[in-house]
Amino acid sequence: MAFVGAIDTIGSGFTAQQERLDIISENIVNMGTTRTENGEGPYRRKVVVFQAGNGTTTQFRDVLAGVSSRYAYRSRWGVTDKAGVRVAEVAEDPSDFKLKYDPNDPDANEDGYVEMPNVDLVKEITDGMAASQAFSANVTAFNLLKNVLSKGLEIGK
Amino acid sequence: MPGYLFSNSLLMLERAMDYQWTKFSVISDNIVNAETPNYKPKYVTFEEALSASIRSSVRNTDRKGASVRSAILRSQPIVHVAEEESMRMDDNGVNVTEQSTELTRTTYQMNYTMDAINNNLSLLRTLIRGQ
Repeated sequence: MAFVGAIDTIGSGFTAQQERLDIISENIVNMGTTRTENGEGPYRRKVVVFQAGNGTTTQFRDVLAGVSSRYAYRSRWGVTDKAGVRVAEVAEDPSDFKLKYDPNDPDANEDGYVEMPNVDLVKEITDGMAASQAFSANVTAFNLLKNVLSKGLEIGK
Repeated sequence: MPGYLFSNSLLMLERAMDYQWTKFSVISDNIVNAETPNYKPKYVTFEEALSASIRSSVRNTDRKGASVRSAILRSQPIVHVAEEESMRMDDNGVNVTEQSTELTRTTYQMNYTMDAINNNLSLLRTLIRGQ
């Protein structure tokens, strides 16, 4: 019913922020990785791209009408694009690698510079703080939803 | 009270629940999209349209109850997109604290409406049982 839609919306927020935190920790952990598995140079910083869903919220009347009418059932039940947010892609940051001068490093180029990942620790940590703030806002919304749903169950009792 | 089961008050409360539920869903959507680039917050209108439509139907002096009822039946909450310019670099227009407070307000509005529905129903039950 209509209630399930809001749970999906807020749940999508949880998933999106968690994925963002996962990518941030991957960036931090790989700050010093000069060789990647495919052997093509240092680790490149990853970024999540969020995208809003196109869905509209369904009203209870529409859901009830959809179930009660056989022909309307398929066209009205649910929405094809859900409301909420999703991670559209995990993109790579195209900015230049940092150069560190160390001629003795096995990964150094002809000029003696080693290409280091384009990860800035301060930026990653502040992004992580923003992600966990967004996550707490979602948790607040979810608690309010639970409040409304449990009150709704008491109608007519 | 022959018309109590079909009275306008319960219908009005059902419409109020619809509006508040739409508002809740729209605000949650805004909160989860608080970090999405280019996202503009949505909002719901309902009360002004409903009160204007009821006022105009009350002026129709015969069959007042039925015309108020059809005014209520016709009303729908409408979702709009706020088109303000954003100060942020990712062009996102959501103010999370404002949305969270609106969400809390909507939750309590829904609780009050559900209480009113319960009161209506228990009054109905008293009428049916006769005690």
